[in-house]
Amino acid sequence: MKPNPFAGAAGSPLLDVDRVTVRFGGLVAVSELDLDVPQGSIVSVIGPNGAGKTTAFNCISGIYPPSAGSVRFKGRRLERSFSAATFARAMGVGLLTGLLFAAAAVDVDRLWMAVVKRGMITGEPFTAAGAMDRLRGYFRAELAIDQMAGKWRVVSADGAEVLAIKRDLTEARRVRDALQAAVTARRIGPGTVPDSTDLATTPEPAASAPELPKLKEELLDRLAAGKRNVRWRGWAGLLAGWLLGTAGTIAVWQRGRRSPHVVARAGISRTFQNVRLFHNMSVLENVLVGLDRTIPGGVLAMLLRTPANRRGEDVARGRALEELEFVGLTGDAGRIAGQLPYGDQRRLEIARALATGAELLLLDEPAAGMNPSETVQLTGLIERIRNRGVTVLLIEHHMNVVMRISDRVAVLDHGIKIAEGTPAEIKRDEKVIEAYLGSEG
Amino acid sequence: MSVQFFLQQCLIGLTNGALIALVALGYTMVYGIIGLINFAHGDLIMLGACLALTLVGALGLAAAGPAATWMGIILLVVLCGLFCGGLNVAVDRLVYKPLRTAPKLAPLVSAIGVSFIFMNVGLFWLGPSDRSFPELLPSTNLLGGEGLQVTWKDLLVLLVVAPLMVGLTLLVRTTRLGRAMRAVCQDPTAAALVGIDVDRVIAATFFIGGFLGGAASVIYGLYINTIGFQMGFQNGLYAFTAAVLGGIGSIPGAVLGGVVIGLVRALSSAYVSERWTGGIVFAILIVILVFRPEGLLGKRVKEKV
Repeated sequence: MKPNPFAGAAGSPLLDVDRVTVRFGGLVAVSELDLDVPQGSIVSVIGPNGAGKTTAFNCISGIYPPSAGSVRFKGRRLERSFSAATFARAMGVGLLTGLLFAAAAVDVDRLWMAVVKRGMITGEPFTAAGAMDRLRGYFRAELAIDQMAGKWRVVSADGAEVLAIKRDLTEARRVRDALQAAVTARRIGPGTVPDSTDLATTPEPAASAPELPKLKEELLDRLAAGKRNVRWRGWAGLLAGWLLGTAGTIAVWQRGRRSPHVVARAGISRTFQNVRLFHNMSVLENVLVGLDRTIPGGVLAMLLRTPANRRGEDVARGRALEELEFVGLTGDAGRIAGQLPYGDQRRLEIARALATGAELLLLDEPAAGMNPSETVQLTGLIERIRNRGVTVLLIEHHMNVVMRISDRVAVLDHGIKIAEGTPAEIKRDEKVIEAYLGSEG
Repeated sequence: MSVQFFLQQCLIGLTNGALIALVALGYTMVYGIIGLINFAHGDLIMLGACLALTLVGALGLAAAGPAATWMGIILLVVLCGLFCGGLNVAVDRLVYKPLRTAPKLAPLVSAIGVSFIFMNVGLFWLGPSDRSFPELLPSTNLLGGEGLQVTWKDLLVLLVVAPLMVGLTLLVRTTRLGRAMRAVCQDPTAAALVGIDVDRVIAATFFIGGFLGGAASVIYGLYINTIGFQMGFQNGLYAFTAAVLGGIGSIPGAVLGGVVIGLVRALSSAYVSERWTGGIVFAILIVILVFRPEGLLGKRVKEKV
């Protein structure tokens, strides 16, 4: 059997439920519940139907978080701790979001068009230097040429403005150069160059001087301004996306930080009021699921059946059989879980919970639907579980079970703990009698 | 209409069906584990095909010798599988996981959104028109003569699909991960409460589904020889139909559904008309679902109270 590391640790209880409240909308299912479960004891929670017992269990086992208050196991809250790795991951997702935002902010499709696609259209071979040139051209808002429906267009580098349409490529080039000169002159500003955007200064003042389209002043200004602000938009997008993505990831992480498997791995396991086995799987497999994390190896190791993986499976199989023997189901290992009789299903569920190596076992009405002889068997089983060093927290309606094996009993009514004490004390408590039998008069 | 013609159509149906089945597995596994119809799966495969095409170009496979070609194909299957698997996991983490506790419609609509994103990435990658995928394998008849035509392409489909399916079955039946997957399928809460990290199991499922899809994308390129940014939609639809026909959530069901749909498609385009194929496939789907709403191999699901 498992050594019990907390056997000597007196003082703090194994499980400390501290003023836990669970609300569903307006309904208060559990109200300010205080409950201590000492190491190595059997504690029962009783109460009429709808008293909030199962809700308290769900809350302890992490199915839903408490609306207020805290649950401590071995003195610590059962939550994933916020580590550097968590933060790094959130930052990573944030960075990804930031890049998306930045891409949207700089019109990445137009950037792509200007830097890569247009080169393909005009038939230039793709080179890194050429691409860099076009990238610079994009930010300076130089003019470029692309093709549409068989005609050549003189466009702004981002493709947003069409300035002229020509049938002939050389003609289009000439117009482009002329317009570019006009735009460049405007960019440098009056005074630095002769105050004429005279076409005589264009590179090709050829005999066949191209017929220039008349451009509006504001368009020329806009082209001359370039796309310098695009850079700032990009950085701003990156930053905004980064912050938003990181915050969002942390918010999502926060929601799942107290998930059931974290609780289970810390050493709390449970059974359900309406048995929740994996019905299609064999009895042995059900227990093996509980032993899952004791088996080493990733997907590849599993598929290749590495020695470590196979040894792990063998050890787990041995332990699973031990657990089955413990609850008295040795002969049924190969059967399908859903075909077992009801009482056996309950015991299988206990075996599965024990297989996780739990130090605290929550049993939700384990005797429900059992006949008297099965109930006696179950009582013995619960005692043996305690003798193994596993602490038991029990919800039960069968009073003879509760009174016989419990060290302490807590009574819930309408979500409020109305009494707690030894079985003998509870039997005499008037509030308890009232809750169960109804007040007289 | 000879026997030989019939056999030929059956072979075409079988290979097509194997391909559909590989894609259908991605739908059925994800549905089985989180009850989500992953509409983006078809488009994920389209992206896999994009990568395959790019890699064929980069590796210069079209001009390689026979041995190098086969090595290249294996490499393609692995790389595209890893790519699609990884992408699928990333999408699960970023898009579906935050919505795990939300109403079922929220992840469904998000899946449609992801599908559009993928399609646009594909449009960007491939361009608007269909692209031809190079013929890497000789189309000589392996049986020789004028009779039944069995080419390397047909063989390739079966050679890749069969081991993947055997591997998947072994994984699900005998390994620790498979056990955890089956447990999460049946009752995620109970699985989590005995220490299974449900999110990791779900991620593994997305990865496996994506990996199979990536392998399918390479074979699709090599077999059909035409890819385009819209291929995800139609192929996804057929694969999804196959998954429903076989019983969604059931792995053997998806394989059976894929083969049935492949055969029906091949035979109806051979004996009726190409134009009626879609109509016939979906008519059969309707008839089967009327009599077996849970699909051919699916289990009747009792609503959990």
